[in-house]
Amino acid sequence: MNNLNKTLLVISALLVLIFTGCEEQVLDKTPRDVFSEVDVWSNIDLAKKFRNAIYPGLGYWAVGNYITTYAMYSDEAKVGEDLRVYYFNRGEITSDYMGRFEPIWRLRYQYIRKANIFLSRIDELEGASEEEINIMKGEVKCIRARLYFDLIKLFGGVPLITEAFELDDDFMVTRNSYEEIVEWIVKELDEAKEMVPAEWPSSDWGRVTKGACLATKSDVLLHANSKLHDPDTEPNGPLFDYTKNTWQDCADAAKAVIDMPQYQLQPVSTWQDYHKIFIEPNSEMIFTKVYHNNYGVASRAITGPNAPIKDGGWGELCPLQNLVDEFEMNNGKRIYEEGSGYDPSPEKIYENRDLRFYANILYQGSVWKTPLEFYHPGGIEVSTPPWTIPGYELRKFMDETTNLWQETGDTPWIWLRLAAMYLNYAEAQYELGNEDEAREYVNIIRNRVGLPDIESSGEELFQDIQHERRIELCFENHRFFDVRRWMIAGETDNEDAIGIVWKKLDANGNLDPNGELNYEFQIFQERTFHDRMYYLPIPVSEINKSDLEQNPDY
Amino acid sequence: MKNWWLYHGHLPWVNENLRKMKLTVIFLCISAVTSLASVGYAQSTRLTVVMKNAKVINILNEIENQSEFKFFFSNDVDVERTATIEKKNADVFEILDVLFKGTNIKYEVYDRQIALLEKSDSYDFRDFAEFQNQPAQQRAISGRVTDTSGQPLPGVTIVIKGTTQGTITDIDGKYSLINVPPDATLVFSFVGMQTREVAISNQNSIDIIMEEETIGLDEVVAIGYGVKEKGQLTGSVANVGGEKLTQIRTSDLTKSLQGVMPGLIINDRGGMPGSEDVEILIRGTHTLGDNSPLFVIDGVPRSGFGQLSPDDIEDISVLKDASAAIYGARAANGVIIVRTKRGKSGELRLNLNSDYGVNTLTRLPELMDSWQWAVYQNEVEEGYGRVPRYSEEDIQKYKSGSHPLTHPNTDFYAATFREFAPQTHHNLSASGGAENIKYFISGDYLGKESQYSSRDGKYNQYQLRSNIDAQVHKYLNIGMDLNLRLQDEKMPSEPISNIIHRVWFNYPIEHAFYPNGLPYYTREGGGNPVVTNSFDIGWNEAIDKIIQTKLSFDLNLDWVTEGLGIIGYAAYDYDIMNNTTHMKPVTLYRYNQNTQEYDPMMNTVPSDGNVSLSKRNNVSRNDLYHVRVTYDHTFGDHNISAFAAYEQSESEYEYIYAYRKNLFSASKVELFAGEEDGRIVNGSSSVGGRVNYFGYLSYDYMRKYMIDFTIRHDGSFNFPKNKRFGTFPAVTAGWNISKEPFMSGITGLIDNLKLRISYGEMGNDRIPGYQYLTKYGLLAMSNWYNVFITGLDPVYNAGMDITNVPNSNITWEISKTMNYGFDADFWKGKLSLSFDYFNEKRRGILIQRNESVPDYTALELPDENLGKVDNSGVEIVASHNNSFGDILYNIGGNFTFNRSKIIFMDEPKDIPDYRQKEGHPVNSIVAYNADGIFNDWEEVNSYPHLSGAQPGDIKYIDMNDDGKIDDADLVRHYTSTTPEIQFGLTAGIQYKGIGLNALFQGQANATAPLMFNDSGTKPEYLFTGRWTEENKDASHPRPFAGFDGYQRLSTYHFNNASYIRLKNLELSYDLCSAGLISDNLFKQFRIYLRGRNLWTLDYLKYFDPEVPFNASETTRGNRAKYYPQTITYSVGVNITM
Repeated sequence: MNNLNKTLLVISALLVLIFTGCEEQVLDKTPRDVFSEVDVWSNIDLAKKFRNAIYPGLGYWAVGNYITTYAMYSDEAKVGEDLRVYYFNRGEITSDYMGRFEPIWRLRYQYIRKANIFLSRIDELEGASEEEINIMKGEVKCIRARLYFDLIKLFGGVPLITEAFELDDDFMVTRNSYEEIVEWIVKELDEAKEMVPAEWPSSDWGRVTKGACLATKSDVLLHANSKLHDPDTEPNGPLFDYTKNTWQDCADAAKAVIDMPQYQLQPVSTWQDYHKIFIEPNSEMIFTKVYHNNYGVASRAITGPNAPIKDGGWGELCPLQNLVDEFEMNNGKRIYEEGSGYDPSPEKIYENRDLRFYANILYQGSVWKTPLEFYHPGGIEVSTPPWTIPGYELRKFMDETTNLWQETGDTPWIWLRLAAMYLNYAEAQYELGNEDEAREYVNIIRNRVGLPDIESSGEELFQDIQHERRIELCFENHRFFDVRRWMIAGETDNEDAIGIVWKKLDANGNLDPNGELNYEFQIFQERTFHDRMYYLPIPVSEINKSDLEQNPDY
Repeated sequence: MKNWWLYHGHLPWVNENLRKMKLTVIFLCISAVTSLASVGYAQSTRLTVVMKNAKVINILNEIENQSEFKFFFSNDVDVERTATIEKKNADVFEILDVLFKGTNIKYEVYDRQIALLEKSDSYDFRDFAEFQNQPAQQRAISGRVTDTSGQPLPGVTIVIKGTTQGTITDIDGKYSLINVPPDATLVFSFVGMQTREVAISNQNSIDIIMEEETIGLDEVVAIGYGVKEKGQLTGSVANVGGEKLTQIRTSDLTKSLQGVMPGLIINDRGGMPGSEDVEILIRGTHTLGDNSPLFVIDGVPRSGFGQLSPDDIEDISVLKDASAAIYGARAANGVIIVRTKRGKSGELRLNLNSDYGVNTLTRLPELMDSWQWAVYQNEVEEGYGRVPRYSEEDIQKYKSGSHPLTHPNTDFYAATFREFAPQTHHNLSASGGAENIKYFISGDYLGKESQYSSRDGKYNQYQLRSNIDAQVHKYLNIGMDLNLRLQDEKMPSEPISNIIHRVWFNYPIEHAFYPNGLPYYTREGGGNPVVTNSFDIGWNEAIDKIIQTKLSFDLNLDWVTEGLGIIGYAAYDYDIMNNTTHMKPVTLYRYNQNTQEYDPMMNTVPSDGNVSLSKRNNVSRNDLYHVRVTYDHTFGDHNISAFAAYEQSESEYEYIYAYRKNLFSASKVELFAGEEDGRIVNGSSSVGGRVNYFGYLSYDYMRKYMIDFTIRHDGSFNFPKNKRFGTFPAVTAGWNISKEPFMSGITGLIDNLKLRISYGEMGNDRIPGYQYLTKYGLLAMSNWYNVFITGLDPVYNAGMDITNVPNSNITWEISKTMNYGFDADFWKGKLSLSFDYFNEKRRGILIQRNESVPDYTALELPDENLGKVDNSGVEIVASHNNSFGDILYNIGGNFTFNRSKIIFMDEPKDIPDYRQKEGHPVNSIVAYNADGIFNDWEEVNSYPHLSGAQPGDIKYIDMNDDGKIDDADLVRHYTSTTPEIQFGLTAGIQYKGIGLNALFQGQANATAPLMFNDSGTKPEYLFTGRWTEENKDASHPRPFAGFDGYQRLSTYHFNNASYIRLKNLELSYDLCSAGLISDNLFKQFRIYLRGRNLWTLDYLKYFDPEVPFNASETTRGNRAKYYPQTITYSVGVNITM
């Protein structure tokens, strides 16, 4: 009994120990893997990280969050195989079948919310200098403005949300007018440009600068003043109309960038020089998304999915004959013009073209490490699934030195480039009636690549400006929007997608690996553009949850 | 009375027990003998016996058959001796003379009775006559009845067989009986014990040890924090014993439960060796959130149920209703309780159970051959207005196989998997105990190879269990349980979903390997599945080391007051997981027709082209302290059992991750041996804690009226301080009608009839933690979309994101469950029947308002206690056991049905009726209604259709009559792969050591959608059944390519997923029961053949009916991208010594 009592004593003592004060200790836990609100808004290093996370909201070179680019939805290119793109190309996009466009609405607003939270809380930060805070504010304001610019380009007027929603808020809002948002964006950019530096230390290259704010402003006004937003064109109404004339502001913003000492057009004497503009950081780049081989996966840098198949690329972006034929001869004449010197024979079809052709497009016989084979039978670029490569692949942005077997590529993606500011300026000046000024700035771009001046005027000049944009800015996600704002998509996007089919044929016209090279043009996609496609539909899931008005004819 | 030994066809002889008896005694029993008679019958009866080398006993039998003679003999007579008789038309004397010639046996005949005796014995039949009219000698018998542990058993009923004469044991287990006939048999019976029959022989004192009954009402089953006799259960508790589970040994214990118990919905969704994908639900779907049950292993909530060895399990109980409420905030989805085996007093018992088996896929999809695919593809191009891709010549070449280099025909599915993959499982255990110490110790090994054709990939599992109980003091028992488990899963680094994706993504006109054996480089990075299914591309090895310990005590406080005790335990569980992923590129080839060379190309799927190594170490620790004061006592007819308990648990988790690439040498796969540039180091941790107070009171009156109360007060770290605690009460009651006097009349027909009713409130707290706080998390670098790099010399900039909007009101879901049921046993347990009906109301279900909060708010929605779901259903179990002579058989069945109904959930505004969730079951699939296929342009033009639709496309129904087909026409179909009905049927038969046990399992009211809308190849039936101008009224649409906009999930893609399948079949032979092996050495020596998924009756042709469905893939097409289900054939041996 004595022993037992001792045992009991020990056990009782243990029990008391367990019970005493345990409850609080066991239950009062805090999450270890996350930071609290207080942590973040009292520590500038954490707040900076919050700002960092807003940058990826700008997206990357592709539409939405996958590897198709806007070029594939325009007359520049087609996709290797993704039928969701083809569905769009045939004019069959609906609010419930938006393909790769589907996530954009949600993604942009996600990052707008982050920006709103940041801007509403950053002033709480103590111990940080006002300048430091202002710079961050400016960065975030510019990004938020660009996110809205993305939305209004695609959808017209959208809900303008500048404060973060809380759980108990009333969520129902209506779409703001297009003009209202344009004005807000411009105001935001004007503020931002006063907050951010003109230049960052080299380790921060890729952040928002004064130039980025101004260039974005120029782009926004270029769009707003274009025909699409003219109240006289369909669709019209507050969601789509811009009633002001701010071409001057557009021109001023572009000119301000052009005049900034940080930015210079790169000198070009060979196509290789021109190609390099898109490969390595240089003073022509205004705002970029920086890539590096050590971070991210292969499919997200532009090179991997689009490089030639033989070297491990996927050949997704396939330039069309429609675009190839637009490249002038190096004498400045269009191929079909008299005296152009264009020779359509298989051996010479690609001779003596604008050097930008060689810098931007891979074609039969061009060299990417080794000569590319686009011919049947057996040419590796076309005998490999997806088989639907229309005889061309992309060279622009592609870094040939990337070892695609091991690297993801570190070509920066250029959001804003100085050459585009020249063309914005030219277009604005044309619209303002200053044709000389317009021609001058187009010719700067042309002369750089060895092309002669244009001397046109009036409507013809406008077409030359359009042409120059098409060539200089090809594949840079401009064309899709340009044909819309100029309202020429009804022509350009109704054109069928043409490709070139190379064949080695024997004397009897049969395929023969040892035969002679020959080509024919072939329709790779029949395309249709409906007027409703000037804007995207708002995803039906969003319409179902909200009071938002759908875009016309969806 | 004579009958028992005069029974025709049976030679009666004096057995061992009767040996000492004088033959005369036996003769006394022949009451039929009424007078002395001459040998007349013997002389007049003629017999013909021609038997060569026959046993004496067979010859005597033959004589009996031909005549009315009956033989009596003692054991002195060697009846096994062989002899030869050739007598025709002879009398019995002639035959017997020959038969016993040269032996010391003589015979004496008295009318039709013949006695065989030793010659030295003498026997006077006249003595017999004198005895016959006297009453039989009667005597008094007394003795004592105890249980196996030596405790006296009071109240045992003892009756003389065939009479109503009997008595009951007293408090000391003693009894006495007078006037017992000398040939009587005593029948001892007691509730919960096996009934015993003992012939009294010439004994005057008979002591009996009664053993507990292993089946039946008095079987003890596990319930929450204790055990209970089955007959006393008031809740809905399903139970299965370990013995049954060893007959259904699978590589995942969860699978073994399929079809075995009512109330469970289990589906085998395939899964890799070591990470099998088994869905388990108790009573189906209750909530819009997490429906998974709580597993409690040896009193501690633990994971790893599937990895437990069936041979280590005592029993498994499933608490389906308010009986689970004792687990409070985690009980609402039901609780599964496992008890592992413990030692019992007695000799050492060694058990070995070993099996070897092979796995093969249940179904192999038939894919298009290359020529079929080429024809199909040409028709696709035609449909898009493009030129055909393949010439007639190409198609002929594909068809004939004449040009294997340029025109191959590859079935990537068949090439990726092999036909048979081995699997083996061994378990060796020792158990037993002395007076003060009992032990159960076992070692277990499970090995299973992958089904990949590469033969790479294996799962090894080693397990050690030691359960020790020591009676360290008269009043104190201490237990020490230890379970160590090593799980080692090594698989190719490419996940199965990607491998299967590639199986479908590639075309049959591509190669797996070129004819010369070189692997083929497939498009988009060369992810050839016959290469990525091997270690050539690297591997992933997850080594999981699990240590579970439990120290317990059981203190008897009878000396304070009788029935009082304290039970306590502390459990410490560690789980250390080392996950290593090694990736390396591999060279694949492309044949170049021009150079006629094979160009080497590097595979960038799955690796990024780098030889890399990543390691992730996870350590989790869970500890739990439990103490409860128990009180069990009987006051006359009132039985009380109660406890009050406190429990607290804490958990801690932490991981470290490291990565390097460009390893210096293939021979050194270590972190140090890689480049510093681009290395990654990461890590984090988390903690959790719970505090619980709970109590239990069980009362019954005469075991007739039973009522149990439980209450639990739970606190969880997961909720804000003022919402942290919840209280969960429950009451369960039972009425054993069969014990009522008015039922006594039908005893024998109904032996047991018990009505049950229960009500309980329970919680479900399975949600991500800390949702009441605003959380900011660092973004993972692995998420490409978040990566933000700056600098001319690029650097990574860490990002931080808000991960949720706080909900300061968050708490657990509440379930209010009613259960009504009865248990009945008829004809002495030959038929058992059990029925349950339940009705559950789940309230405060944690849901996110995804459907009504617009995306432009971009709120990171937290869970909110908004949803309401009702769920009700029935469960029926019936079983029948019987025997015919040596044949024992049993059949049984169980049936489970449940249907949920959403009362409230978040829905988009203005939702049309046909897409509403409210008022309908939780599980549903949103799809178009299909109405056949457009046959011509006229039909297309006269119906609403998708823009661009053509003849041959699926005709979707315009639900809202707006003239167009779009999202608004999507219909919610209230079905899913989770069935509403599951059932199991068992049948077993045993005969002299041979056993055949079958388990059929099936389901109904389930749907498996299958859709093939990704680029790549397709099943053959889409070719053979395709719509063409020539084949209108086809069953399948016109040829379509990947991401075809006309392929939208519709009822056309639905498949009825009902099935019935032979889940388990075991043929066994116990050499001991058959008498082939001495049972002195072996208690059991069973060899068995076993098969799983042997036969299936269902609606799906090429896919397993248990195929999973991933709703997120409805646009790309659900092509069953999972590791498929297998058939297992195995052979094994189970030896007990």
